[in-house]
Amino acid sequence: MKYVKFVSIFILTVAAMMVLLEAYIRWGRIESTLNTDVDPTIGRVRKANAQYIYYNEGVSIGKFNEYGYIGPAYHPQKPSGALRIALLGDSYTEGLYMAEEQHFRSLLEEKLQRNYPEKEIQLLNFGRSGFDLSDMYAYEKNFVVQFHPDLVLYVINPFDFIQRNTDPLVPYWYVEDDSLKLNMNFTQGQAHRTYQMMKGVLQQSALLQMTKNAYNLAKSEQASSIILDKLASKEDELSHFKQNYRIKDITQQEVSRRIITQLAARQDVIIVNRDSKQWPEEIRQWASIDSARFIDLGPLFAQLHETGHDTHYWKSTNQTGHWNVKTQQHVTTYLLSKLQPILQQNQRVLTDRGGVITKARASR
Amino acid sequence: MLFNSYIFLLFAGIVLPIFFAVPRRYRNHYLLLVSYLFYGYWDWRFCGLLAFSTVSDFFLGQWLHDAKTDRRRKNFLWTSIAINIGVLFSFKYFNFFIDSFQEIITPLGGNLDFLHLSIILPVGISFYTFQTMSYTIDVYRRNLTPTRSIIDFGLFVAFFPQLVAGPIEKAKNLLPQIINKPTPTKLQIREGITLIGIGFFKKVMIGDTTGRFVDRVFGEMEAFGSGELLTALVLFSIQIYADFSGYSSIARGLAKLLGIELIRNFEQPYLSASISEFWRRWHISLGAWIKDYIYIPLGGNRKGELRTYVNLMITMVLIGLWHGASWTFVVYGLLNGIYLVVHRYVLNGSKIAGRYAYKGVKSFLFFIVSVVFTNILVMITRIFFRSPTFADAAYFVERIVQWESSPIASDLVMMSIAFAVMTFALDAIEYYTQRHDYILQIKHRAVRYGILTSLFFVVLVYMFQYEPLPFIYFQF
Repeated sequence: MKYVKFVSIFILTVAAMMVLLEAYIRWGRIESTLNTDVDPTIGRVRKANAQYIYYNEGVSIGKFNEYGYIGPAYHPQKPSGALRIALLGDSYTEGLYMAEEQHFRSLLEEKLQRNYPEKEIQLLNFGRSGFDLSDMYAYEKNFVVQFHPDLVLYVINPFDFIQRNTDPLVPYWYVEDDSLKLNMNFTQGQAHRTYQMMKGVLQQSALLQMTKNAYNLAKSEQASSIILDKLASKEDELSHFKQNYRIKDITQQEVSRRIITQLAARQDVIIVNRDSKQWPEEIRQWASIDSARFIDLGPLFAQLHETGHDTHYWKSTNQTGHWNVKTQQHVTTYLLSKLQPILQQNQRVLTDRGGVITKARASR
Repeated sequence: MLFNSYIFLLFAGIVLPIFFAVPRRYRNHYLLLVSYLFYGYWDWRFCGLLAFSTVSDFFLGQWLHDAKTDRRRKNFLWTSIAINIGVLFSFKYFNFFIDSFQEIITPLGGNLDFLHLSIILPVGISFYTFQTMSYTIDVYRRNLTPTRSIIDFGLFVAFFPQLVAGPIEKAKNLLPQIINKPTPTKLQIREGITLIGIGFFKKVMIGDTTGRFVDRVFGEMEAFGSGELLTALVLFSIQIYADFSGYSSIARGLAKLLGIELIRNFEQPYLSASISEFWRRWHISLGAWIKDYIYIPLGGNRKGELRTYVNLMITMVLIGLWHGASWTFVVYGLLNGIYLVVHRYVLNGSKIAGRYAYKGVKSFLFFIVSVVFTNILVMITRIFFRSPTFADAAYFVERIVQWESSPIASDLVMMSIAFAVMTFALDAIEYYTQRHDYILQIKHRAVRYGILTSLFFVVLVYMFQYEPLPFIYFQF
C-alpha cells in the first residue's frame, strides 16, 4: 500500500512538473509544438497559424500564416490587378534561419513594389526546407496553383535534381509508360498511421516534440558524436554526410529531367540557379539555360567572393550556413535587376487588371 | 569538458563510483589524476601551466612558512604573487596592454605589432591563480599552516568541480577538508544530487536557452531591431546569472558527492534592494577574495570617506579587469564603482540593509521598487560587459534610443517574461527557504523524486538536441 501511494504521488508530481515545464518551454519560445500537418491532397504542409522557433546559424521566430506558408497571408484568390509571384525552393527559400523581414522574399517584394507603385506586388514564399525539385513540382501542382501566381520562381541548385524521397508523407513523381506520374499514396503507409497517432499529442506539446526530436537524434548516426564529443571517431560524424550527400550521376535522374524540361517550356516559370557553381552540361540543356527565363546567381557570388564577402558565414554564431543577411540583400538587388527585363517583356502581366496569366502554360 | 555535455555525464558516471571503491588513503591521488584528466580534455598543454603554478606555490608556501626573518618571508610572498600575476598577465593581459599602447603610439609613427603574442587563454586561469595566491598570502599572514603533501596541495589547486569557474576557495576552507579525505555522508549525497539537478536546470534550461538568442543578437547587432536588442540585454542578465549560479550549484553538488563543502557563490543577487547589497550577493567568492586581499590592505573604510571611495573604485576596476582584458570591462568596473560610491554617499554612514523582512504593504512596495531600480542599474553595466567593443556598446545604446518596433514584439515580450518569472521564482524560493537545495525541504520523498526526475529528464532531452553553450565565465 505504501509503495502504491509512493508511486502514485511520484507520477502525479511528474505530471504536474511536465505541465509547468510545458508552459515554460512554450512561453520562453524554447521549442515549438509540431508545426506540420498532412493534407491528403498535398502531403506534409506547414500547419496554419503554427508557431515556429528555429535556432540555426541565425534565429527565426514567428508564425506560419493562416494558409500555411511564411510571410504575409495572401488569400488564394488573387486581388484584381495584383502581380503575384510564387517562390519555390528549399531551405534557402523558406528561410527558417533568419528574420522574415531580412529574407530576400521580403526585400524583393518591397523593392518591386517601389518600382511598380501602380501595381500591388505579392511575393509568396512556398519554399520548403529539405525539398528537392520533384517535391517542389508536386507542391506547385497540388498547393501553389491554388494561389494563381502570375510567375513562379524555382530557386534551385544541381543537388535538387537528385530525387531524395526523404519524407514518406509527401507525394512523389515516377515515370511509367513514358509519362510522369504522381504517387499520392502517402496516406496509406505505416508512416502516415504513426503520424496520425502521434500528431494530436505532438501538436499540443512542445515538450513532447522536443523529446521526439531528441529520440530521432538518438537513433541517428549523430548520437555517438553527441555523447562522445571529440572522442567519437571522425568517420562516424562524416559517414552521415557522405551517405546522405553523395552526388550520384545527375544525368540518370529521369524524373528531374522531365520536370525541368516542362518547367523550362512554361512562360510563367523562371528558373534561378542559387549555387555558385555552373550546372552540368546535361542539365543546362534540359533547363534551356540560354532562355531569358533563367537567372544565374553564380556570377553574383563570384563577384562577392572576389570582393572578400563570405556569402555563407554568420558572424553571430561563427558558423557557415545559408545566405547571411548581407547576401540576402545582394541576392535581392541582383534578382530585381534580372526580373525587371523579364517583367517588362511580359507587359501583360504588369498591366493586366484581371491578374490572370495570359500566356499559355506548358502541358503537364 | 563542459558540465552540460554528455561526455561529462559519462566521465562523472565512471569517476564517482570508482571514487567510492578507492581506499581512502589514495582518494586524493585518484582525484588529482581525475582532475588533470578533466582539465587536459580541453587542451593537454594547459596541464603544464597548472602543474607549474602548483609546484611553485607548494614550495614557496613551505619556504615562506619556514623562513626565519620577515624579509625572507616577504620575498617568498612577493615571488609567489609575481609568478601568479606574471602568468596571468602573460596569458591574459599582455596583448591587451600592447594593443592599448599601440593605439597611443601609432599616430606618432610607432609600431608594437612584433610584440603581439599568439597565445591561447588557458581555461580557468583567473580562478586557480587567485586560489593559489590566497594560499601563500594566508600562509604569510600565519592564518594557515602549509601542507607538506604535494598531492593534497595539487588537489586543492586542481579540484575538478571548481577548477575552471570557481567558486574561488580560500585555502583555509578547502585545504583542511582535502587533507582529511572525507567520505560523503548520506545527507551530502542527497544534497549533492539535488544541487546538481537544480544547477543543471538553471544552466541548461535558463542559461543555454536564453544564451542562444543573446549570442545571435550580440554577435551581429546590425542585423536585429531595437526590440531584439533590448530583449537580448534582458535575457543576457538572466543568462549570466543562470549560467554562473547553475554552474556553481553543479560544482557544489559534485563536491558534496566527494565529501567536500564549497562556499555558496550567489545569494539571490537579483533580489537585492541596493547595488551594495547586490555586490554582497553576486560572485561572493571573488568579492571576498578582493575584499580580503586588496580592499582591506588598501585601508578599506578605515582611512576616511574619500580614501574609502578611492578604494572602492580601485577594487571595482580590478574586478572589471579580472573579467577580461578589454576597456569595456574597465568601464564595467568603473560604473559599478561609481554606483557603490554614490550609494555609500547617500547612505551617509547608515548600514547597508540586510535581507528584506516583510513589514507591511508599503515596505514591500518600496522593496519591489528598489529591486527593480537595482536591476536596471545592473543591466546598464551589462551593456559594457557583453559588448565586444566600445563601438558596439555605443551602437547598442543608439539603437535603443532610436527605437524601431519589431514584427515579433509579442514573442520577445513572452520570452522575457517567461525567463524572468522562472529566474525570480527560483530565487524567491531560495530567498524564503535560505537554501539552495530547497527541494529537500519538501517532506514527501515521492514529491522530491518526482521533481528531480522531471528536471533531469527535460535537461537531458534538451542537451541531446542542442549543442551545449560553454559557461560564460570560462572565458575569464
